[in-house]
Amino acid sequence: MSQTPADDTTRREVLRDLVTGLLSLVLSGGLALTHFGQEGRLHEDFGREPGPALLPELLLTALALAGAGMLGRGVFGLCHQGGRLGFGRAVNGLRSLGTALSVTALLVLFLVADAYIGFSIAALGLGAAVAMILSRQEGGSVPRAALEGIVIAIVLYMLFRFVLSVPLT
Amino acid sequence: MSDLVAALIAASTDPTMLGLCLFGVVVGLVFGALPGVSSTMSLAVMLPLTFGMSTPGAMMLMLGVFFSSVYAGSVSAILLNIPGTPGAMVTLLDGNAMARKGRAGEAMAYALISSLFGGVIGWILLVTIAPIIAGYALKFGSPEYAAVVFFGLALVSYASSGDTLRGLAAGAIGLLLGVVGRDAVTDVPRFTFGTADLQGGFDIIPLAIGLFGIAEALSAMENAPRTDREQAPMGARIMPKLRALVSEVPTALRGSFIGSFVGAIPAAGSAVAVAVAYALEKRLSRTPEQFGTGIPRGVVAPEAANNACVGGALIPMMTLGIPGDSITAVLIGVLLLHGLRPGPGLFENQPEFIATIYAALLIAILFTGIVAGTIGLRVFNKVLLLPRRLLLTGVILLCLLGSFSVRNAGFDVWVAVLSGAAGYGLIRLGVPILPLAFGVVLGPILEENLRRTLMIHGDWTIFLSRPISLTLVTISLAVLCGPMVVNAGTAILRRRL
Repeated sequence: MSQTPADDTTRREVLRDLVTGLLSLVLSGGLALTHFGQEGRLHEDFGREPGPALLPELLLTALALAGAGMLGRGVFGLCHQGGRLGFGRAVNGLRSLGTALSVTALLVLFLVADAYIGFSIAALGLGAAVAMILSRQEGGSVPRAALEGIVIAIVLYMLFRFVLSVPLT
Repeated sequence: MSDLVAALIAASTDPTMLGLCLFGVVVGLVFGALPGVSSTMSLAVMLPLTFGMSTPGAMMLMLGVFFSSVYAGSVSAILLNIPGTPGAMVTLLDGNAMARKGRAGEAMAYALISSLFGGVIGWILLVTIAPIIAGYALKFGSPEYAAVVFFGLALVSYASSGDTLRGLAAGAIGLLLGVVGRDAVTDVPRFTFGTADLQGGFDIIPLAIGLFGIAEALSAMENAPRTDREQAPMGARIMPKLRALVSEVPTALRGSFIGSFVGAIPAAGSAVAVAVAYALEKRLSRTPEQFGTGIPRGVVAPEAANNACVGGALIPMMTLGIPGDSITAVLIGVLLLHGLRPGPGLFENQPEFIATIYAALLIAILFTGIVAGTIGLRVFNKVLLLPRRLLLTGVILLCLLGSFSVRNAGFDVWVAVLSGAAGYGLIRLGVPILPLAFGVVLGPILEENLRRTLMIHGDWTIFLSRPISLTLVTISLAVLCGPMVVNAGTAILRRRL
């Protein structure tokens, strides 16, 4: 029997629940280790004042409960699906994220490059690279897009550097 | 009232103020008309430009962007059958159908007139209701404040994506981000991991730029642009007949009241308002089968509701300091940046600034009408042809430059990029980012009032012994737990059957 869109949606939601639930539990667990492992005055008794540890502890509990709830719902859904998650479909779905993931990687590269070559050069490179990636998606001329990206970067840099007096490097 | 008249006179006779508002309106019209650029992204991108401005000037600019971008979402909905903003999702049903019949100009005129009508009704409700709520909120003690913040977060967690658990997780993460840094009372560091940069905590601006600017831009890059998009011709007639316009007044009024009311509910948002307004008109109509075939009523109802939401969303923001939606969360960021905390205290201490906000919104509505009604209809055709690569490249670079400008610190650029990447990941996982942003904004307020309550009153039962906090806490718990209990019950019943 062929898969219906409703099956795909259900499977995707189950996968999302499992991943989000797990991430929430890992995050709350990791932060709880940091929080309870912190030395100093964080866990001191401040008398009638509840102290700085109260809200973080409430929030970590809420995050852990939400994570456990999502994980539980995901496991329940997985059992209902007969243990099939459709990882292959999920991997295929990831391919559609190519452009966004490439730009994310470029942004991280920009952060590193900024420290070595300065904001201006790094921004020019980023502008050119992002425009090139997007022009490939649009099916346009790549060199022209690179030039457009550089021009946009120069105009915005000048705006912030000279009009708004931001001390950019 | 005298403050409002004085603020209106002051703003309308100050060329700088008028220029800022006009600039904001033009930018909002262009950004809002472009598919994939939301009003929130428009505001996040424009936010850095307000750093050097006076607070009233910044509000003139931002409210200009806010109102005009909300209206402009209808342009691509009508001409391209692609909603420019979530609030224009319903407009395309009849708006594009009218355009396909050769009545695009008329559909856009209906959209503009009903948007202005909705905007003015929302503004009137804001001006009349906000002082009453603020006056009442001034009597709030710490327990009520803590309960209001909890209530706002609970509603956001529930309403943002329809999945309460994911909303709850996002809200908790946002609140946790809000407590990072040295505690204001005891000076004890929390979640700073020994780094100097985190001692002062996260600034809301780079986080907002990352979550609403970079993350949304990355989402917009996911899908290749539609190459089959055909722009509908304007048609011979643009201005509808006066008689036809008058017959739509009751629809516009109903839409406006729905928009103002829904807009005032934290996180309910314009998408809900337009859906409710459209559904109500369809239900009231004697010919419901005509909806979706290209009738003016199908444009008027959602557009009036959409723009009335602007005034509605400002009500909780200004009176209680709780954002009505993601756009007002960014606006709160602007106010915090200028050293102002929205809430009832602002009404008491700075009534003239409140009047300036009212004046700014009214002037933004007027400018939107003037610009869109004169040159807009001709220019929109060209704006829609702007290549996406230029737009998104500009948005990404503006986000980076803007986040650096907050404190001239490279750390803020890191925060913007990492929160943008994380926000994009959350969007992909179906986790709403709005509760996260709300959490960051509201975290310090919640903590301050919660701790003060417990310090003064000693224990948690105080929340159950005061009527306002009891009501708010009860509703919040019902909103958070209700859907989970119902879902679990349904699943168990289904299994047994």
